[in-house]
Amino acid sequence: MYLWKYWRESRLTFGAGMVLVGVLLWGCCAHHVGPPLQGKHAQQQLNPDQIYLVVTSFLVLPLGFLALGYGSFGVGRDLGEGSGSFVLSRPRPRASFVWSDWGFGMAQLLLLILAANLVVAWAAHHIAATSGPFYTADGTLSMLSIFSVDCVAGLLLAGLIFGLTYFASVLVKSRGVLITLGVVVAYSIGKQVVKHYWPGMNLPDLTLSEFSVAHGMIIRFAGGLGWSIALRAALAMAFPIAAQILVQRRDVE
Amino acid sequence: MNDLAIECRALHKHFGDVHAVDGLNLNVPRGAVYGFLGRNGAGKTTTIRMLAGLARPTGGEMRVLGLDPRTDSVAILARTGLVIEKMLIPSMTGNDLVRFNRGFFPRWSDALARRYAEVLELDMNRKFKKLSTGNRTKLCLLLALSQGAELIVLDEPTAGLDPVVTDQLLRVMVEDFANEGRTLLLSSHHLSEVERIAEWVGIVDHGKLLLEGRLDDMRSSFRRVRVVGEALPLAAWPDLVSANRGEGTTEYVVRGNADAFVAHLQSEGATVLDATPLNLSEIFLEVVGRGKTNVPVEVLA
Repeated sequence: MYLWKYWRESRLTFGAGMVLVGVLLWGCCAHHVGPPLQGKHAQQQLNPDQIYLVVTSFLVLPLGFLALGYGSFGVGRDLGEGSGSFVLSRPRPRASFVWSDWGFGMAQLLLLILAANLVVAWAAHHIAATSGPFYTADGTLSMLSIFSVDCVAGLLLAGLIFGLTYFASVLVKSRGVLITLGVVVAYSIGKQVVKHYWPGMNLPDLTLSEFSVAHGMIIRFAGGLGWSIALRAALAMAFPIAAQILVQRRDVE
Repeated sequence: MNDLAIECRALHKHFGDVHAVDGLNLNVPRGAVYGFLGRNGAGKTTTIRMLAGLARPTGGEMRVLGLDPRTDSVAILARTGLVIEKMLIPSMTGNDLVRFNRGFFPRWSDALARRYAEVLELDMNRKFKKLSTGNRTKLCLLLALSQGAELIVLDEPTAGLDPVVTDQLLRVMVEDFANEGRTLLLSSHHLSEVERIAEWVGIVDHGKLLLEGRLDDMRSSFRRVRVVGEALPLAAWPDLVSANRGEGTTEYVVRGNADAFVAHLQSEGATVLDATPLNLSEIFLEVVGRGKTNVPVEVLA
């Protein structure tokens, strides 16, 4: 029943995400995604990697906003609306409320990420079906590899924003979304400031930056990708854990 | 098995320098309808929140249905119906809230929920946020009463209700709940309502229990004694609660042994005009004090 409550709160956001996927699909279908163009038109056609890079770059922003929305639902929202006493006095461990929210929210985000990436992969694959399991014959990354890692990258970004918003919402009730936006903007500005004054120091991007790209072609995985994924995953998990501790220890008003 | 549904010993809750609950002792017998009385800010709601596991005590001990809310809150909440904030999930209708709530309580009764909706004249298809204050309270009560709880804890349940609904509600609470041997803790400012249904009463002020006992015992033991006489004592009697000297008369309130007190005053040369029993409202006002000479009162039973 508790998941049903979270679904009620998040279904519009999920619907918006599915609309976005639909628009993506329409875009792919409407813009010459099909068999490779022949002859003189072949030059005008984007290669699959380019399609993947361009489309998924544009997906980062909507994905961030969707994750922001998901993070604002659940216990934090209940506390903000004054119904925290009611919800948290239902006979269940408080931790289970947090992990139900987080698990169900992440599951929905995963579905949206998979759906969006499937559309893009389908479009790209349609143009040049050259993929092997991991690398193509010419030594670049295969579509399956790009698809898999891009899903992981999306999930990590979504998890980070979702977790931070959820934690902030539990911490300061209804102002969690504003805090996350503030943190993201402050980090982006801070990164540029650091780059300007200390050119040798490079703070990591909020997104995974998972590929090494040359001439619009995804060549291979970026260096230290495993560590980047592990660190982001640890950070993404830290927020729901912190939220759980907070919900368990705080007095409910 | 402990015969107390709720038991608190030297319970404390501090918010910085504010001692909301300050060494509270409370004994709510199983099967009793217990009126938990106190002024605004006396510590009633904070105590209830601690019993529900929503707030952590700063110190002291408490047991609810024999369990410790700090470690067994899930088991306690499964057996307890609570109405504290009267704020449910705003976007849900009454039917949605019933659907949401029923999954948490194995003894939930849809039949009871339907019956209370009818008795309390509730529109179950209206969203909670669109309900009036009174209807919100009624919906909170419906959910608490339908879950088949052994213990119901209600914080100001009749606030915002009109007299007709209040009457319906009190009937429901007594007929459907208290008569079945379950325990009802009722925090209220409305002393006449408490007097109508409660068997036991506890009066708190400044986070401390001032008086606790059976309501009948209180009524039979408290007396207001009006006397005429010169230089009468204002204290120095063990059961004296308050003493006020007016023009020509002195008014005493004692919490027991009224006959002995009257005899004592007569031996001092006083003429006793009358010795009348007090109702709950008068007892409450005397115990929490109104800036008059006030003697601390202890637990009666």
